[in-house]
Amino acid sequence: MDLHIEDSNKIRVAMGLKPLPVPGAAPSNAGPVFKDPKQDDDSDDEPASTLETRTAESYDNWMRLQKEADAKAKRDAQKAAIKKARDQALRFRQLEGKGLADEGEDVDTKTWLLQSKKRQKKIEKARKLEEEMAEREREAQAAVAYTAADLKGVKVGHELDEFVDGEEQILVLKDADIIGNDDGEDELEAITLKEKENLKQKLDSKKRKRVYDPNDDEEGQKSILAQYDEEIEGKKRKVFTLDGQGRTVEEAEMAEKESTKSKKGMTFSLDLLKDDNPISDYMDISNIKVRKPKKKSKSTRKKAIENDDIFPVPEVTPPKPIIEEGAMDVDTSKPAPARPRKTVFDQSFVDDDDLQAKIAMQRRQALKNRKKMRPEDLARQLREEDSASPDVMQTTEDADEEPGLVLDETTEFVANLQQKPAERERRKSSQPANDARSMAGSPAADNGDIEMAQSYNEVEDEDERMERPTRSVSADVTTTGLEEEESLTKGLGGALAMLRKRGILKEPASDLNAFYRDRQRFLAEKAKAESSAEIMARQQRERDRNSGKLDQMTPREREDMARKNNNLRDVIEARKTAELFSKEYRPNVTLNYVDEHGRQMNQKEAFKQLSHQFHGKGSGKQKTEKHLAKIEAEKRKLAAPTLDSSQTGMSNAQGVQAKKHRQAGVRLQ
Amino acid sequence: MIIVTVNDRLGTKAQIPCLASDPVKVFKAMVAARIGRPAHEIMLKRQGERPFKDQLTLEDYGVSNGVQLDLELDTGD
Repeated sequence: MDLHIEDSNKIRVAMGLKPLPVPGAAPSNAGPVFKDPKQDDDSDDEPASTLETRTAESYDNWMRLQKEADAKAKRDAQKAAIKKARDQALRFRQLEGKGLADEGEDVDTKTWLLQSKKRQKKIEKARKLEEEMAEREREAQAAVAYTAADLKGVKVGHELDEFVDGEEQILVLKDADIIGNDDGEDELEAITLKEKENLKQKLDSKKRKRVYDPNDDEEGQKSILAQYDEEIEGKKRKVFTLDGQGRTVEEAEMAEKESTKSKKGMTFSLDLLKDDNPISDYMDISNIKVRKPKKKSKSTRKKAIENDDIFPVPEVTPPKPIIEEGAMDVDTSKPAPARPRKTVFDQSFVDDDDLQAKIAMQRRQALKNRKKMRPEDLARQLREEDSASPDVMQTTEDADEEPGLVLDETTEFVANLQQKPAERERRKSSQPANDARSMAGSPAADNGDIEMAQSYNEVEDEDERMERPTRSVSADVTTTGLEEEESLTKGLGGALAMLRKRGILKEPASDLNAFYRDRQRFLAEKAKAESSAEIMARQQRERDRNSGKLDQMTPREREDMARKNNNLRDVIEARKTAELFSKEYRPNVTLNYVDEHGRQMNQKEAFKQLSHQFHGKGSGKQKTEKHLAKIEAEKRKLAAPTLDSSQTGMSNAQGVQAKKHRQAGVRLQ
Repeated sequence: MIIVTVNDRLGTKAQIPCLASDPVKVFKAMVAARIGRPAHEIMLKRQGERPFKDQLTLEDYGVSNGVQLDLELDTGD
């Protein structure tokens, strides 16, 4: 450092600056000479008053600081060294003392053995001492212990019921009033119970109970205006006092009181009403004696069923004496090991052995009887069956009688196919009789001379002719099994029938005619009444005129009288007519709306049309088109033949027809 | 006398005794003598500040004992 300063001093001098002050060297003469600060103590100019003095002082300052720093470093180093040394010492001190191997302090084995007894004694002594100490401690504790006896006469601020069994409660001394009118006794309370109580009270106060509760059915000890009791007398506190023997004082008192107190009311047992309970309609099970079936047979039977490959033979139960019944009962009472798996099924069927036996006997009897039938009988029976079977009509008729068989077109068709040959045969056989009958009824028979004129050939022809229509008729019925469709060629009746069949024309209501007839009758009656009234009026007038009463009157009077008479008659007539109306007149009103296409409209459609008329504005184009299309479709449907299969095949025809006839049905293929 | 540390952050660090009243030019000459680089190539500045001007003294820049100055290469512009 000094070297640097000297170097830099050289440079400084070269640069024309004053050199730095060198610490070791004596102050140069060139620079200003400063006074020694110690000497200057009494002088009044301050040590660092000027820039110069301060600059001069700077080196000393620096040196001082340097020294201080050095000293501090030194001290720290020393401290560290001391600490290190101390730590080391500490570490070594821990290792001091006897090690395991060092123990025994050079005792040889013999002496050690000799001393062992002494050592044992010493250990024993120590233990005894310890025990004694423990005992003494315990005794001391017992002397201090706080027992139930100490709690005698202490009050507890809760009800006894609040302490639930098995729940531990910690009781603490209750805060007593300082000024209070307390009696100064200690009172215990459980904090948790207290909290619970407070909460309950708070909730109760929130409930806003009514003062008078009609449902509250407490016994009579209630005072008048009981709700103010708390305010006047203060809160009633539930307190019991411990008596130091595991009981409470109150309890003991209560027990005493109970014993002395005479009972107020009369006790009345309600069991009195109980003993005439209604007698059951069913018999008591215990009264019924059921003869138990023998178990052995049951078990064997069950086994047989279980095996399944053996035909179950009904085992004959050995006859059992009736005296044994008691014994049997005893038998059944103990559990039967023979049948571990007893099912309900088994029981219900096999239980009734007697019935089974009876039925079996009957069956056997029946079998025997049947076997007795002779071969002749069998033959006859077969013949009968044979003769019966071809007659299909009969069978169908039989079938007809049975409930649940539905005859539709298809079955009819099939029946007709089978019927044909049989019928023809029968017709052939019954031809002569038939002929005779037809002869008698036919118009040909009436004018016999024509027939007389006919030759034998023609008679033969006649015979054939008679046969033809019947054939044609039969063909008419049986070609398809379905009815022929009506056509318009048969006149008005045919057309009507066709329309009816198609369901286009509804069957006229039967009472429509009745209505008409009623109306006509009513009108006739009315007319009759009117005419009779008129006749009567005329007669009266005639009488008046003949009696000469009118002659005496003036014309004015006559007029008056005539008017009066007329009025009277009118009144009578009106009354009669009214009577008639009320008795007979039943108006039959139907509102028919017909649209521009001539269709009947229902109520809805009619309303729509009226609405359109009223507003002068009809449906839009699309709606109108739809409506027209619907009408078109309806027309087409009406025009189409009933059995038309062009649209959806065979299956549809019947469906359509059924729809027209309003029948529900399923086609069977 | 103050001691000022000159550091170029590249491994060269020198402590230079001087007076606070020294002009920067003289200080640079002393630094040059110490680190072996011509004085006109030396630029001194406090960290993050503008370089020292030759005409001013260290005092003017508030340089006191123990202050460290940054040393940079002065390229002349």
